[in-house]
Amino acid sequence: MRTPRVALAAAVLLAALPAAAPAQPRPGPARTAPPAAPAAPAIEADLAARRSEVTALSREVADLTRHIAENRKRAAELTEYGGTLAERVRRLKKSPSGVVRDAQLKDDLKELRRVLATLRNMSHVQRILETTLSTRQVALARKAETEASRLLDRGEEAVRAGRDDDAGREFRAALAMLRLGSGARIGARPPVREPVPEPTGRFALSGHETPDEMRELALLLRDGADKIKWNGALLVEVLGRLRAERETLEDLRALETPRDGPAEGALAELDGHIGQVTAELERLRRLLGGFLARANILEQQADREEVAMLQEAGRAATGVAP
Amino acid sequence: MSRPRRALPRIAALGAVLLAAALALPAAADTMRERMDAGDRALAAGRYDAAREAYRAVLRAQPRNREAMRRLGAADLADGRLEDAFSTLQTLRVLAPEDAGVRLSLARVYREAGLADRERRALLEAIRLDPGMTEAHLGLARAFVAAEELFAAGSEYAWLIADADRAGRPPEPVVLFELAAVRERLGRPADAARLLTRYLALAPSGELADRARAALARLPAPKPAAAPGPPAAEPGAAP
Repeated sequence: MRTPRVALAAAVLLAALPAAAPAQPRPGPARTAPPAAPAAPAIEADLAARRSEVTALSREVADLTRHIAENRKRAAELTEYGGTLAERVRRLKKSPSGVVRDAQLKDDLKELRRVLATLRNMSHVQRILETTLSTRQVALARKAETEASRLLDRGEEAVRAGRDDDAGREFRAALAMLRLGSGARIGARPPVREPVPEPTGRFALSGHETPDEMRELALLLRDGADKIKWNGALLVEVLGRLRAERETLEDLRALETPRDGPAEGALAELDGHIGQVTAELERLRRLLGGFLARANILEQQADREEVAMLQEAGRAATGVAP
Repeated sequence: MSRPRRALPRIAALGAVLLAAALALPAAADTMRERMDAGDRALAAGRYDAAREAYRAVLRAQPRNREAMRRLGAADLADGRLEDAFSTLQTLRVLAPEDAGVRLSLARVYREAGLADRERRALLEAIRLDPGMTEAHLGLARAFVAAEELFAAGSEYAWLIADADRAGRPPEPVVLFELAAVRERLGRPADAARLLTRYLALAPSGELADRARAALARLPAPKPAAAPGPPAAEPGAAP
């Protein structure tokens, strides 16, 4: 959903930026004042270079977006084909063996392996493309916003110099640039992540578990620890947002008259909430520590018991008494 | 002819020119006013092309007429011509840096353009220039809600209610309704119920009133009003 927005914004920008080339001084008198001296060619060249950088980046983002969408479509088609193949293989395996059936099964298995390998490769490539896209989007957002600020400054200068037509052009280009930057920033934002149900980690040990069973339980605990980490990471994000909101409220309080207006109360309330989230984060940290410690203990116990069993087996084989 | 006599026709001509100019000035001012009025009528009727043409006619004669620029920006914004509105309002911002209304209009352009950060910045600038500008506070409260910054949103809504209380007038009902939604989302159902009850006392009918009643049906009943005394502070106000 987010990538077409960037592509659209890029198209808008490309349309709005005929001035990517250095702006020429307009012929004839300006509408509201005598023509100002044209900007130094070096400055104009520098501006043109920066704008073409933004244009190139937005093209790159658009290309990457298209490439990713094509890959996704191709992967979906291959997955469907792989599913059909897998179904055929299942059916063939159930059917009685024979020359034709065996040859067919062999071919299908070979093809299925090829499809799965291609899908794995595509998934790898897709991850790389998505990471690259995100990096380029961040770069584009930064460049576009810097460039928008420059365009706004130039527009302001033009207004002060009475060159209203030039100002209008700069302001329009600035708005297009701001939209492009905003679209890229939204595109680069990680998708919204949801918390997962908290693992209980409660299971009774009979005391007769084999080392393999202990390792399995340790694995369950580590899986639970991953879930706790995930939820903890989300809470850290929440905390970051709340702290940013606190800064906003500080700004509001500075603007308020009287000084003890609603922002003061909201700050106190927010601080209370930040305290709750921090306490919850602390609880998760302790829970995580507990899960990992129990997993470690189980793994160590499994190792010890396995060593003991091996020694026991060794002694039994050599006939040496313990 | 002596020197003074030779100067006489020139003085007479100059006098005639000045007289003509003096007579023409009010006429020009009348024309400008008529054009502005025509633009305003067209804008109010949603005839944006006509409104734009009227304001542009003023600007052709007086390129830096701020009122005409302001209204041209409003016409473009109402017509969804964001680039044009932005261009005019940015120009006006440079010409009238202390004008909070221009910042408010720019904030609207930013909102329409999906530029939330810029919208918020423009609203804060408007409030900095005119701390009592209620539209800017309301816009900011809504921008905070959109950004999920509910504590900040609550603070702005509470400011609007406190401002109305200070002025001895009832708050805008929609402010009570929107703050109630914020308080509920912050896990303060009793606050939300109290605000909705106050909302219904001010605006008992309409779609929002129906929604307020539906919300009240699932929220805990607000505590009965206390004995007469100073009004209770709104949620989010200083403890």
